[in-house]
Amino acid sequence: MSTFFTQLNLTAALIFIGFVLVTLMITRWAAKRTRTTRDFYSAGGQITGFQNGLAIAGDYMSAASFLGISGMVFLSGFDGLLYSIGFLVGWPIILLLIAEPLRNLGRYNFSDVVSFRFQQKPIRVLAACGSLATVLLYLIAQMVGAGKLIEVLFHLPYTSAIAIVGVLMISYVMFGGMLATTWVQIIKAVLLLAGATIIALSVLASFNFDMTALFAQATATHPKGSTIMEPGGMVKDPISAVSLGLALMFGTAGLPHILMRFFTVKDAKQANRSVLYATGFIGYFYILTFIIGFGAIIFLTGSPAYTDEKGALLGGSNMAAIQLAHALGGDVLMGFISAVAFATILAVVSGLTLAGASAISHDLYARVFRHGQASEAEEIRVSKGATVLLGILAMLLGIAFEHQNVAFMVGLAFAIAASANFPVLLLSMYWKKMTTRGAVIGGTLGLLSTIILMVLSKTIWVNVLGFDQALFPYEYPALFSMPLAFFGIWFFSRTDNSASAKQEREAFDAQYIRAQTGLGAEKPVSH
Amino acid sequence: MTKIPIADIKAMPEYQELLRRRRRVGWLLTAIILTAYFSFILMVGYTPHLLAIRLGDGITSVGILAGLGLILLTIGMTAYYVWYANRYLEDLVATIHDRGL
Repeated sequence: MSTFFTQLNLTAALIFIGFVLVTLMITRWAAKRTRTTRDFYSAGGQITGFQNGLAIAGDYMSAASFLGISGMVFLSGFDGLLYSIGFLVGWPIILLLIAEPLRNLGRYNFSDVVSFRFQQKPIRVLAACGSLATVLLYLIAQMVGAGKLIEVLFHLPYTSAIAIVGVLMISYVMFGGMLATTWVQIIKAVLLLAGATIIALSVLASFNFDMTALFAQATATHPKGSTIMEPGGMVKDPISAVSLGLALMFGTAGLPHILMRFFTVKDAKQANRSVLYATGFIGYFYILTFIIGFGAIIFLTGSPAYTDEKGALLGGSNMAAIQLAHALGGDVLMGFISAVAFATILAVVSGLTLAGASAISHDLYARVFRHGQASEAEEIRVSKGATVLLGILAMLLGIAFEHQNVAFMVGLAFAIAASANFPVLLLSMYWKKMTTRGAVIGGTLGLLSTIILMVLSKTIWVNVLGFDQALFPYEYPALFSMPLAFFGIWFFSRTDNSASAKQEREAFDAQYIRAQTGLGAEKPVSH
Repeated sequence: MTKIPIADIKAMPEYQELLRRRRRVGWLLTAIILTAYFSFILMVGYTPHLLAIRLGDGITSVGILAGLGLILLTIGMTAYYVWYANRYLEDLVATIHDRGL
C-alpha cells in the first residue's frame, strides 16, 4: 500500500485556499454591482460571447464528467467515449434551434420563454417544477460526489466537506449573483482546461505524439486487451442505447442552469458565439479526458503504488485522472488537479443553485404567488432566501444520500430535461397551434412518466427497493417519455377550442418575429 | 415592449429571405447531426462488430475513429453555422431592424 491518500497534499490545500480567496474577492466585487433583478439573474447582460462560452463550458465540465469519463475510459476504453459524444452532440441542436430565439424572447430564465404567449400561472408552475426537479437531482449527485472526493483528497470528514461546499456556494450566489457565479465558473474552466491539457500532453509526449503507439501500449496493458477499442458491455441493449442517446442529446437543451446563461450576453449574436466557444472547449476537453483515460490505463495498471492486490484503482476508478496526475507530475501536479476538481464542484453547484433560486423567486414567487406585482427589491430578497434554502436542502440531501449510488441521478436529470423542459420549450417557440392546456398536460406527462419509468426500472425497483424483477425492462426512460410529452402537447393543444387558446395562437406571429429578428427583445442596461 | 408591425415585417423580402435561409441551413445541419449520431448509436446497439473492425495499423478501430470524428463534426458544424449566420443572416437582421421600427 502506498501512502497515497493518507497524508494531506500541501499543494492541493494551498491552491484550493487560493482559489477560495480569489473567488470570495470576486464575490465582494460582484456584490457591489448586483442591485437589480437583471444583475442578479443575468449579470446585467454584460458578459461577452467568449466569456459566456467559457462559463457554459465550465457548467458542463463538472467534476463528474472529468473524473467520471476518464474513469470510464480507464475501465473500458471505447465505452467511455459514448458518454462524451452524447453530452456533446446536443450543442448544435441548441445553436440551431434554441439559442437565438431563447435570447430574443426571454429575460432571465427559460420559463420566460415558454410562458411568453401563454397563461403565466400554469406554465410558470410547470416550468419551475421541471427546473427544480432537474436542478435538485443534479445538485444531489454533485454534492455526494463532492463529499466523497474531498474526503479522499483532503482528509476531511464527509459532513464537513459538504458543509464547506454548501456555505461557499451560498455565499457566491447570494452576495454575488450571476456575475460572481459566472466568474467563478470562468476561472475554474480555465484551470480545468489547463490541468487536463498538461496531463494529456505529458501522456502524448511519452509516446512522441503517436496515437497508434499509445493505443497499442494500452491494449497490451489493459486486462480486457484489444476489446477496449470496441463497444463493450456498458450498453446492454439497443433500446437502452437509443434512449440514453436521446436523453443526453436533447437533455442539454433543457438544462435550466445552461439555458439561463444565454441571458447573460448582450444579444442573440453573442448567444450564438457563446455556443461556438462552449462547443469548442467542451469537445476539446472530452478529447483530453479520452487521452487521460488511456494514459491511466498505461501508467496505472498493475502499478503497486496506485492499485490494490486485485488490480482495482485505489480510491475507485473515479480517481483515474487524479492518480495519473501523480504518476506523471508527482505531488505538485496531483495537488493542482485535486484543487481544480474541488473548485469545479463549487462552481457547478453555484450555477445550479442560482437556476433553482430563479425558479422559486422569479417564477413561483413573482409571477404565480404575487401575480407579477412584486417589486424588484422584494423579488431579490426572495431569490436570496431561496438560495439559502436550496443550499441547506442540498447539504441535507447530500448527507442523506451519502451511502447511495447517485450516478443515475445525473442521467435522470438529463431525462427529465429532455422529456419535460425541452419539448415544451421547443414547441412554444416553433409551433403556432400550441396552447396552455397542451403545454401543461404534455409537460406534466413527460415529467411524471420519466420519474415513474425510472422508479420501475432496475436501478431503483430492484437495486434500491429490492424487488426481484424490474417492471420497466430498459435502463433509460427518454425513448418513451419524450414522445409521450410531444404527443401530449400535440393532442391536448389540437383539441383545445377555448377562447384563450385562440388568443394564444394569434399571438404566435408577433412572438415568432421577435424570436427570429430580436425586434422588441430585452436590451442590455448600461451601467 | 414596442408593438411590432406584424404584417409589414412578414411582407418584407429581407424577412422572408432570413427565414428561408435560416430554415434551410437549420434543417440541413440538424438532419446531418441527428443522422450521424443516431447511426453511431444504432451501430453500437445492433452491429458492434462493425465498429470493432481494425484500420490499417491493426490497432485503431472504426469505432474510435467514428467517435472522435463525431466530436470534430460537432465542433465543425457549430463553427460553420456561426460563420454562416455572420456572413448571411446578420445583415438581413440589421436591415429588418432599421426598417422594422
